[in-house]
Parts: sequence; structure tokens; C-alpha cells
Amino acid sequence: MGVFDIAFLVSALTIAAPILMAATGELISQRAGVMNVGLEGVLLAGAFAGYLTMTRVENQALGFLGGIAGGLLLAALMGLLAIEVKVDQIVAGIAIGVLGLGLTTFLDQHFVPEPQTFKPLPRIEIPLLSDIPVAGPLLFDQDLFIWATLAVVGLAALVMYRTTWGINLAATGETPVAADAAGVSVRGLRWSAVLVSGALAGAAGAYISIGDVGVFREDMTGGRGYLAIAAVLFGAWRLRGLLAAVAIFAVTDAVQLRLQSMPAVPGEIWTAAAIAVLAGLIVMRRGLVVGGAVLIALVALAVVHPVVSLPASLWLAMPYVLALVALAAGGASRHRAPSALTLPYVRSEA
Amino acid sequence: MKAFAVRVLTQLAVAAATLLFAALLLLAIGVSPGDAATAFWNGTFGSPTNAGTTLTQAVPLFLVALGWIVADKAGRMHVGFPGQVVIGGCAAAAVGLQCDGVPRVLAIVACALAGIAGGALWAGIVAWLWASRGVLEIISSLLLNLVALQVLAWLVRGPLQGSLDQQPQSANFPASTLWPAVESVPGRTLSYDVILLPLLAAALIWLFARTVFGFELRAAGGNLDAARWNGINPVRMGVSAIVISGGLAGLAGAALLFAGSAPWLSEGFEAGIGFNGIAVALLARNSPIGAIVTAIVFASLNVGGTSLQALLDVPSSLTSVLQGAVIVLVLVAAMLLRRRRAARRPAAPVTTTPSTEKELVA
Repeated sequence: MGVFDIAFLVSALTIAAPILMAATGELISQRAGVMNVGLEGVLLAGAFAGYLTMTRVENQALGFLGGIAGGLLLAALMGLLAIEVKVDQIVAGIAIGVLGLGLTTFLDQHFVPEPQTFKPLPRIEIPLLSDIPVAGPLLFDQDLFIWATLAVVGLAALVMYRTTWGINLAATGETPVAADAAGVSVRGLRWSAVLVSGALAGAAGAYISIGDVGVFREDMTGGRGYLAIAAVLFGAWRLRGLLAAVAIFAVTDAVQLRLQSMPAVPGEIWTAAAIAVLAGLIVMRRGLVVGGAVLIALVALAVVHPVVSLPASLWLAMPYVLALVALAAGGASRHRAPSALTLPYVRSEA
Repeated sequence: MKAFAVRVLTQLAVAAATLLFAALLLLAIGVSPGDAATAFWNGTFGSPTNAGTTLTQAVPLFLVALGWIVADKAGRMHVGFPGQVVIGGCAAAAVGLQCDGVPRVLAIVACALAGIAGGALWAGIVAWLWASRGVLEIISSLLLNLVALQVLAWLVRGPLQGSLDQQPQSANFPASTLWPAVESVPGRTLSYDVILLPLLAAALIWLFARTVFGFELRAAGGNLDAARWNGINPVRMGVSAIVISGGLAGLAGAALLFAGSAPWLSEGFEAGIGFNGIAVALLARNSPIGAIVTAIVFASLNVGGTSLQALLDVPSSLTSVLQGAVIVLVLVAAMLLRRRRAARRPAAPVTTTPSTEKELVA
């Protein structure tokens, strides 16, 4: 059936999982008012730390723990800069990003001069359930990380919206003064949010290196950290929006991976894109002129079905372009940013 | 005067801390810091040829640093420099490859202008997304960096591919487009574009201190209410700042190609200049004059890192570790200074710069 078969859905899910895990962490941290622009560096730290652990002990559980430790380490540095030293969070994030890339490359060249490859995480086939058509191979024949991601997202939803801690977290990001006056420790909450985000990004990074492909390469996260931040922004700092954004990015990425190997763009892509634009228009109820024009163009392409092919590198840029378009389309959602995002909290003792 | 002394002392302390960190890293991988220092010096300033390379490599870093300074003064913190350097370089290369037989002066000016235009255009996307769609410039610029890399990868394999053995790179640029180098330096490694260092630093200082435009830029990056009451449109100034900084980064891309040692367009030509330029500006605490010094320091880190790898087998990524460490140390030092000052004058409240983003939206 061409592009959209089960293997496609599975690959979209595999792409989505680490981005979703990292984005959930970033969401928690941003709701507390700390924006880590260097998430990419934290992911890399997790990826490398997990890989390094694997080269020494060759145990996947320990590898993931190592990845989490690596992510925690860089997140702790971010916390130190943003919460304790109170420097500009954007600049601190840039430093974390540069440091993450530099350190992982340096340590990789020194400690693991000969690249090693490991087996990726085993898929766990659940008897009976995995025999269901479509849903079976998609949901019940996955590796543990996919399940862990689902659990983390569910838990995050519960904690953020249903517990005192979650409410305090939002209060800390909105009006830290009020939260402080109510007896909530702004510093403690921000630290825990930053560390949670570091642990999740570390685990996501470890999945990218040892969980999915089984090897570490310089700068291997390839912008997933930026996509995760874009998802938080596009999702208007809500978990539901975040899920939608990650789904869009992952599907685009899976599509481009699939299309790279195809000689020309199949007609069903235009149809699918048209449906997606239509859905977007219905949800947003804005930008009808531009959106309508795009929709008509896509429908025309689907009907005419011309032989178009794009070079591989331009396909590779698709998820980022789409993220930009999504951010531009959802411009007004910025009003819902936590009010104290990127603002250090200075307690006035007067 | 005393404040100036404190600033210089702080910079020296940061430099010393970075050197200490480097020495520890070298010890950790079993290289004697003494040997490393000798190799480093010989590789960077030990001979006129190497010194020429170091100074020439400082120019693109300095241009990007100026870009950061302009944007930051207007309160716009974008990090799109890698992408703007890449697109500026691509535009310059596309023009340069067509310039065979064009008089030299004309060809050089055309390439430089193409670089500036390419960078400014790429930055223009960031500016437009920020001004009219309210997209945070930091995230849009990060994403555009990734897009720019793919555009470059496509160009060197597709339209601009020109090497005979089908490598992903362009043909060599015509000799008329290459920027002139000082003849007396062996190997002709010192390009004349180093005169941009003092010239542009002076121009920028003049712009900020003496022109209305410079004043309005700074005002837009300062108190927004005051700026508006003075009839300054902060959004327009922000857009101008982003576009100018993109133009400077694009010029850096052209300088990398036409004043560098490899006169062709290839995938890795940007070589981390975009992010390192930010570090250069941060280390110089946004002073254009200081950026000359720090750009030379960073260029020597790059050049010296290469010779350390060749002679002592030190991974060349040591350089990027140090660059990251420098940013962290500068941030901490700046904050400690501010705190000390605040402690001495207890009456003055510690002011944090609020993100101007939200005020613009409100």
C-alpha cells in the first residue's frame, strides 16, 4: 500500500518516542520557569554516557542509567547557572548546548577511539495481542522504551494537573512571588523540575544511541532537542498540544525517511498533506486565506499527480521546516507562556 | 578607571581558569601540559605563516561576534549565526563561481555583497517570524540552522557540485574572486581582510555612540516603555538588528570561503564559527574592541587545536570543550561581579533584565 503501511507507523513511533520523552521533561522545566535551550546538549550527554557505560559493562539497564546520569549532570549545570547564579537562561542554554556537543565528542574520541556497536533494545512481543492486525505490531511488539515513554507521559499528565506538586509547579512558573508567599519553595521546585527534565532527556538520549541504533556518533541527536523545544512552544505549554506537535514532527520525519528511497513523490502524500492542512484549519479556525490556498494547491497536486522528486537533503530538512511553519501558524498561542519563563527569581528580603 | 581594571582582571581570571581546566583535561588524557603549550605556541604564533593563519581565521569569528553584539544591544538574542554563515557562504560561492573573467575588485565586492545579502535574508526569516508571527527568535533560528545545513548539503551535491571526482563540493573559485593576501608572509596566509577587525570595531562603536540609529537600537534593547515614549518602534529596531547581524554573519561566510585556505564550497566549511562567534562576543562582554582580542584568542584555539592533534594526538574537539567552558566561566564571573557591586551598595536593588519578549506581546 505504498507509503503508509505498518512499518511506516512503527518508524514514526520510534522517532516520536525520544522526542516526546525529552519534550515532556522540557515542558515540566518550562512550566517551572526554566527554559533550557541547550536540551540538544543534554540529549547528547545522555546518548554518550549511555554508550560509554555500554562499552564498559555491556548491560542495557546500566547503560540507560548511565544515560540518565549524563543528562542529570548537564541539567545540574543548567540549574546551577539558571537558579543559583541567576544568569540569563538563554545564554546559559547556549553554553550547555556547546558544552554538550564538545564534551561528548572529546570524550568519545578519547575513551572510545574504536566505535563499537551493540544490539538495540529487544522488542517485546506480547502473545495474542500482537496478532491483532495493524494495532498488534504497532502497539504490542515494541521495545521497552516506547512503553516507558507512554508511562512517563501519563505520569506527567497526572502529576502536572492532578497533584499539589504540579499546581505548585505551574504557580512557580507563573508568579514565583505568590508561590513563595504561599510557602512553596521556588528554588526547590525549579531544581526538581530541571533535574527531572535532565533525567528524561538523558534517557531519551540513551535511547537514541544504545536503544535504537546501538552506536554513538558525533552530534548524533541531529536537532531532536530543538524539535522537542519547538514542540513545547507549539503545544502552548500544554501536554495535549505537545503530543500533537510531536506526532506531526515524527510523522513528517518518517515520511521523509520513506520518500528518500522513492524515485518520485507518490500521490497519496499530497492527499495526506491536504487532509492534515484541512484538520489544522478546522482546529485553528484562523489563517483561512493562506491555509485555503495551500489546501487547494495540495488537492490539485493529488489529482494531477505530477512526477516530482526532491533531493534527499531537502527531505531531511522537512521536519524542521514543518516545525517552523507550525510555530508561525500557532503564533498567538505564545500568550499562554508561563509568565515567569526565563526570569530568575530574586527573593527580596525587604 | 577602577571599573576598567576590575573588568580586565576578571577577564584574566576567566582566561586563567580556562587554562587550568585545559591543563586538567590534558593531564586526564595523559598529555603533558608543557609539551602541549609548546606545540600550541608553535602552531599559532611560532612562525609568520602560522600567525597569518591565526589572524585570518579571527576575522569570521569577529564578524559573527559583531553580529551578536548588534542583536544583543537591541535585546534580540538569536542564535542563527551558523545558518546565516552557511547561507551567506552559499550565496557568495554561487556568485563567485560565475565571476570568472570579471575584474578582480568587482568580483570581490560582488562576492562580499552576495554573502551579506544571503546572511541578511536568512536572518530576515527569523526577524519576520518574530515580528509578525510572534515566534521566539531563539527557537526559529535554531531550526533554521538545521535547514541551512541541509540546503548546503543539497547545493554541494546538486546545483553547485563541480569537483571532477564527484566529491560533494563545488569547483574551485576563480582566482579573480579570492581575497588578496599579504605577499611578504610565506605561504600568503595573512589575508588583507584583517583590516576589517579595527575598521568594523570602530564603525560599530561610532554607530552606537554617535548615531540616532544606534541610540534607537540600544533604546529598543533597554527600557521598552522609555523607547516607546520616545517614538521608537522596538519591533522595527529588533528586525533591523536581526537583519544586520545576519548580514555580518553572511560576510563571515564569504570571508571563510574567499580568504580561507580551501577556495571551494564544501559541507563542513562553517566549522563551528557561528556558535564560537557568540562565545567570542560573550567573552568580550559585548565590547567591539574586546571582541578583536577574544576573536584572535579563539582563532588561536582552533589553529592550535589542529596542531595539537597533529603533534600530540590530542582530540581536536578539545577546542569546543574549552569554548563551552569559557561561556560558563564568563557568565559566572559576570554574575559574581554584579553581586559584589550590589552587596557594596545595599540601597540599590539587584536588577535582573526582564525578558523583553513578554512586554512586546502585552
